Amino acid sequence: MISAAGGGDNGSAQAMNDLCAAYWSPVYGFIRRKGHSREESEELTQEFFARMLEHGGLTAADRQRGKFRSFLLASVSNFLANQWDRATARKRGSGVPTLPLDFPVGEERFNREPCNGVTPETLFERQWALTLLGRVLDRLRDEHERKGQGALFARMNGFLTGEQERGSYESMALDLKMSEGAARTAVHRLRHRYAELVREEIKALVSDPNEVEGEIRCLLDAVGRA
Amino acid sequence: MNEAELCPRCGSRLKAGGDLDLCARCLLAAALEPPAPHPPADLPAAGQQIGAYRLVRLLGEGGMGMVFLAEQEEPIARQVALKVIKVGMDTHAVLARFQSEQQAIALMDHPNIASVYEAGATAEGRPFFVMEFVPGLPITDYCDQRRLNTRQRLELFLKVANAVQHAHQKGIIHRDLKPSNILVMDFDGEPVPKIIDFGLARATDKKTAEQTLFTEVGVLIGTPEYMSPEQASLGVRDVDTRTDIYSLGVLLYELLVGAVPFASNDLRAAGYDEILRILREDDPPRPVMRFDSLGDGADQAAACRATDSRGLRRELRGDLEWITLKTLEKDRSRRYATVADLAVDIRRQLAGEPVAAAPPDPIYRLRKFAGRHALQLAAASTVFLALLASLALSTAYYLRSEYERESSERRHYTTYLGAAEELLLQRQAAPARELLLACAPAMRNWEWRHLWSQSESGSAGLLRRVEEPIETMAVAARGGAVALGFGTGIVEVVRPEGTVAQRWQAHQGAVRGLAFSPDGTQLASVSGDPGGGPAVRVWEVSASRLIAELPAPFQVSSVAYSPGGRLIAAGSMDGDAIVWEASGRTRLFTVRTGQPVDGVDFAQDGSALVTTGRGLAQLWFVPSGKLRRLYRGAAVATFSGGGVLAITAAAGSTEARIRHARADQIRGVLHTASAIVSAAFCPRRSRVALATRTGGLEIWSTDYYEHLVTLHAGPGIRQLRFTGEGRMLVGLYEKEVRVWDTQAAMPPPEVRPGVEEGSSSAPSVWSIFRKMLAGGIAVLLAGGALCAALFRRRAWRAAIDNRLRRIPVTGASLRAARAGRWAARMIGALLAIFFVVMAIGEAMPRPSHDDIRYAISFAGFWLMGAGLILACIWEAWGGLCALAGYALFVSVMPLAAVNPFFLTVAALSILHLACWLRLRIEHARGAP
Repeated sequence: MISAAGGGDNGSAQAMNDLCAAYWSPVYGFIRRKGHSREESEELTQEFFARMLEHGGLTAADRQRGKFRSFLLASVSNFLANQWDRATARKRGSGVPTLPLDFPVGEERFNREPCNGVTPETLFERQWALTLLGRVLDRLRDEHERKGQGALFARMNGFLTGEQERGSYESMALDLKMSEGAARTAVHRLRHRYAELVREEIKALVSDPNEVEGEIRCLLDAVGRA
Repeated sequence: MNEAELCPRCGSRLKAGGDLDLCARCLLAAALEPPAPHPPADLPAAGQQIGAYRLVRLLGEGGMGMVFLAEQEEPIARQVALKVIKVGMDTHAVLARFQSEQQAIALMDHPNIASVYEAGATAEGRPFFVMEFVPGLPITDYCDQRRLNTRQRLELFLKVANAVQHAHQKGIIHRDLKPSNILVMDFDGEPVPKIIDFGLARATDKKTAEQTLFTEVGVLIGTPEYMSPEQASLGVRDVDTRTDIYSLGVLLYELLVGAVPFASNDLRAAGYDEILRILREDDPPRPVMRFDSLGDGADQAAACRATDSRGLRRELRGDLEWITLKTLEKDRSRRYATVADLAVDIRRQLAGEPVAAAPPDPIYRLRKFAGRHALQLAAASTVFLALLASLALSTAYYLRSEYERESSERRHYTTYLGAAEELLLQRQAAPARELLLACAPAMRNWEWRHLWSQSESGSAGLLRRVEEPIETMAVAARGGAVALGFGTGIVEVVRPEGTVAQRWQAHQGAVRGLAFSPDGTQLASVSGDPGGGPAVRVWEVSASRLIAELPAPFQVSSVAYSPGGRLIAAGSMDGDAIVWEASGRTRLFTVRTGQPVDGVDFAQDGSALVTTGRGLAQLWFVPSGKLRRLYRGAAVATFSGGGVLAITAAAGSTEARIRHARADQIRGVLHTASAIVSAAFCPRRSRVALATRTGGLEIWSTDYYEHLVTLHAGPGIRQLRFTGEGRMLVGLYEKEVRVWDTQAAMPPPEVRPGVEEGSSSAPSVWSIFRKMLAGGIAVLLAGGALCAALFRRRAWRAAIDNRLRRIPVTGASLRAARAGRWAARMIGALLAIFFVVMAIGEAMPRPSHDDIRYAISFAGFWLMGAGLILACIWEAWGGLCALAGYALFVSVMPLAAVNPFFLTVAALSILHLACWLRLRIEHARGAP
């Protein structure tokens, strides 16, 4: 996906559009945390993505750096540093359709974050991790619902983060009318698929598949700094 | 953010997945450790058979393993608890270690310890342990459910302690004592605790904190609350029985207070390193403080202990507190040596006997404190030392300058005194007095007073000395000329400088009375000479020419002009007094007094005449000549310059009465040192001069009837007159006339000899002490603020945070507060340096000589300086301190309120407080 985005043809622009539409909220949070007001941040976020898409920003993506996350963070930092350019940028970008960004959701996410003593960069990474996890969980849910296992997923998702209190397998088995062994197996499959999806999602955002592990640790680290 | 939003597993606050409400940290960790691709078919489940045991149901599942209720068929049928170790462990090593301890474990035979029967491996190769099944509740839950009071809890705890002691005697350390490992069941209505998992920790070899508490990615899986500091030290493997004592202490704490010493949520929210640091370094809060910090939970906790919060708080103080804290010492050598000692202390407490545990001695606490707050303490000590040093320095400088001032004053004093004495010997009184007045009032002593009195008598200038006796004199109201009448009938007019202007033969006989006309151009004289005919002769002074002769039918002895110069009165030895009109030379009236008249005087407005003679003063109306009033016991009577006052003095008495002539009231009574001989009113000022028999010349104020000064007149003074301007006093002696300058004789009011000691501004030991005291109080206040800052209580902070969280604020104010904090610190540091420099350089403002004001301003000044220094470290305390100092300072120096320097200090303090408050709010928001 990242490779496709860098190609410069129509497909790449579409891929870019998708990525930006998915990962805009960390950018918004970053800009907000940098001290801009709500309205200002909305405008800046739109402009930033508009410029990215107009310029085919990813041709500038540093392939050595590899991570879309780092690239986006560096870009938005640069963008904010060159704010004087803002007015002209707006004019130039006027032809580009704006992304359908749901700012109230972004604002809500931003406000939910505890922000004492946290740098905008950490906040960006945290939001990034949350966005990523949200996408993965959505996909997982979609997959289950497609297979008609929506209820199963709804009952089981708590097990994603590990073992539960004593007796919970039993009660779940009772709820879902299956044996305890079957319940254990289902949970195991869920967790396995979840791990696969996380890796898949991250793989789309880094250039080197070997970086996946490192990226997870990196995000874990950012999240752990709470 | 409330506790419910924390992840129960890792304590992290981040939620992910929107409505799924999962913990982001745990999710990521789960992604990092994907389960094996195959389902865990090998995990034991209910119904499965392991060795001789059939698993009945799952009792519990933890980080390390799963506990099942199992049934044993062979060799005995019984219910057992079977624990399967879940995570990958070297089964052989586990079993080997267990077997090495098995002997000791098997030897443990105590009703309160659950037996461990066997260890083995499942078919999948997982190690498992078989233990006695205890159908009980964790001890804390049990106590709360049964609402056991503190005494019952202690008794239950004693049973646990005895069991642990028993195990220790057998050489087994539990290492993992916690409520879930101490189950309590009812047996014959008695609670019976059973400790489970004894020996398992050693077998599964929980090496270090890292492995116990966290997975590879740092997700917490263990229970840090009951972990001892030595277990929390990485790399320390030396764990002994005292570790169990610590864990028992945490348990005791929880049983008593209802919470573990370090809040579980705080611990879990902290990072891995932070948890270990808290366990290793932070002293547990006193049980009462912890109880108070529970907030709403406190009442509930008290209710579980069958009491109210007040009662529980009372129980938690004293011996129980020290017992608990002694078990929780970070340094294990300071804990109880054995569990038995702990048990003994608790038994003593229950029996009301003195316990071994005691509050740690202050030096130990101080050392601990210093260790924890090395940096802050260093900063505080620097501030203190700087304050003390500058206080000592400024005091030393002050004392030294005082000493130097005094010694230089003493040198001047001796020099001046010597010079003044020299001048007095040369009869130069005025310069001598100048020198004497230049002496510092504090130094003046008897030698000064001696010279001063000499200078006073010396100031009586000799106007005229003659060979023949002088009968009488008159002083001109203008020009200061003095007329003298001699017994030979000669009249002399002497100029103020002492030269004789005119001298002529006025009468044949002795001149009895003289009077200048108010304008000083004419002189009236009377003589007792029988030959020349009784008459008042009026002379033109400039030419000594006789202008008129006013014939009298009898011998006249005294004469007076009315103040307007229109009338002349004369008194006779026969008892008559005659008043002529000076211009018309006609006799106006004659009054008959009945006794010889010594003196006559007109009132200022000419409306009354007073005659004196033989102790009787009579007041007559002019021009009717009727008697108006009569005073007995009056030797001298004269009208004052103001006209309404008359003086009457009894002959030979030491009392002078100042009367209001018109209202006949005594206005004031003057008491002189000896009998009054003569009196004179000052025509301009409200003063009266009284000559006494012993030679004193007392000058009194008639405003307040106070004694102003006593001049040395010497004996023999017969008549006393002020000159017209009232400055010079002229005294008549038998053969000389002396003049005193009353103005020069009058010492400056504040250095009046004899009274200056009371209002001395000389520094006393007391005043210096007060100044030092003020400095000391300032230092103490600053120190108190420091200590308060250092001893900030968790509970207070929690309560304050609770309030702060509710204050609405904007994000911009946070940025402003961050910038403001640093700006205030920078400026404050510069100002503080300036303060110290000022203080050391003794350039401190001295508002006045008033010591109390000085002390207050001094304290305020110091507080401001100390506050600014403090504010660099703790802005809230420092800001308060500086603001208090400012208030103190301004209270005695209102002008300082608008002084730019002090204004800056006040503004800075407020800025500090505002920034602190804003940042504190943010902190409260972020804090769990």
